[in-house]
Amino acid sequence: MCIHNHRHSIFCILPPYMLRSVMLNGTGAQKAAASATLGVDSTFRAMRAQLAASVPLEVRRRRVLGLLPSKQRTISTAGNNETLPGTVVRAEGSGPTGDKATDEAYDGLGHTFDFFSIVYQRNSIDDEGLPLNATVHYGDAYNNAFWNGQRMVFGDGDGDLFNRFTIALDVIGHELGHGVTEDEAGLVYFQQPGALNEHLSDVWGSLIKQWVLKQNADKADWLIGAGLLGSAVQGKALRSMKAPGTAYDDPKLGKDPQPAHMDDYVDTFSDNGGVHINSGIPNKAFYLAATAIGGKAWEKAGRIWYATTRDVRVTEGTKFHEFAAVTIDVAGQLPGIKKPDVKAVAEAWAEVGIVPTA
Amino acid sequence: MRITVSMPSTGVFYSPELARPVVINVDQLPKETADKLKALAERAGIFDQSKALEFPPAKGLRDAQEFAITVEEGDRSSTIRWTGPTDALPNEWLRKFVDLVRKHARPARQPPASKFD
Repeated sequence: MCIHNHRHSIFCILPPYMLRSVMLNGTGAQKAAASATLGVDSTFRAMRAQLAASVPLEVRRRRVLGLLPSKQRTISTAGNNETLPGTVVRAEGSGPTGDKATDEAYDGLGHTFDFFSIVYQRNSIDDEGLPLNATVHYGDAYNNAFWNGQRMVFGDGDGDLFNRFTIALDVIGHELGHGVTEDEAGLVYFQQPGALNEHLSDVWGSLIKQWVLKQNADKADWLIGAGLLGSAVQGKALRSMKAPGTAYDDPKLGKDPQPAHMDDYVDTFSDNGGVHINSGIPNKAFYLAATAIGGKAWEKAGRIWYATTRDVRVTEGTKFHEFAAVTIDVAGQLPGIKKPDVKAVAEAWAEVGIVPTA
Repeated sequence: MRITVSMPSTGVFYSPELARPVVINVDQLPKETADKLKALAERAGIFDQSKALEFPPAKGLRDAQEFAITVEEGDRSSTIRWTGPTDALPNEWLRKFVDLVRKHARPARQPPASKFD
């Protein structure tokens, strides 16, 4: 569900997470201004309570009680059937079960929640503390992981082409990332908006892994799904953000079809209009921007992309060039993002053949 | 009976080979399996023109596999399309039919010979 009222220009210019950052890191005058703005923002938030009647009771309760962000994870097993949600096998606060898929899903959901909470002050995927639910052991030798709009679902893989789908933290982050995108921009799942939807999930998946590993951008592998392919498969992952089109080349899977440049954009009706194919282009742009900026990718490049995702100009039909334009504009306004960083973002888009236009 | 199984969307990533259609010639399967498939096709109403066999994806579904199963027998032809879990399919017989079809599509999905030339 997306209520969007937190981003309305009447209510605030800077989102509260940025104001809180200024209060922590700004000069004395900046801190005072941020504090005053947050106070005004709180007043408007009270006014917005009237609008909350349309929000589900569970969400309203969390909001009214002012609960601090806290993880609420529930892992269920489908017992190798295709019935959801399955039987609960691990709930928040309980210890490891010894089942790899269950414990990897539990930990992966936790890392994802912590990443968004600590790095971007986002309270779960809806920013309202939504409980995180997952089902493991879905289907018989099921070769996929998906987001069904409410929960993450993981297959065990067939043990030949694929290992269990919980093995890769970035895939868990990718799936939850779909929930974030759905809540914020609502990018439709078709052609360029769909490829941006996939791109953003790859960005969050990769950044969560880098954050857990405390990696600088130049040390990260920028792979999505490393370890997921079976040992006999000729490939290293599902996708490479650093070098789209090179993740695998295998007789049973074919060759990674991702382009890295608009010259090679794939027009197709398969894959919902190429959402997992053409996402290679913005993926490459993000990699180029993050490595050019340097340091920890979630601190600047990730923050620019996160603010872009929340920007009102990014809507369900946004295309590559429009998204690119917003990243550059947002970068120019974010505190702590310097001119060379903005230039790095603009150059990254240019390098993949995307001309940013509003 | 001839059944063509394709997966236009292969899930969390796009694999050209997993998307490639696979053809099952039912009459070349063991008689027991062939009879079961044909019986399930009838019970599921595959060739019943009054039954809708294309089911749109559920709202918010992401990274799900999309399937298209085309069944041909004589001059009759019908295609079942759905995305994600088989519980998107409305009746038990249809689910049993596609489960059995997919089971037999797996071994049929071999790499093209040219790749090994």
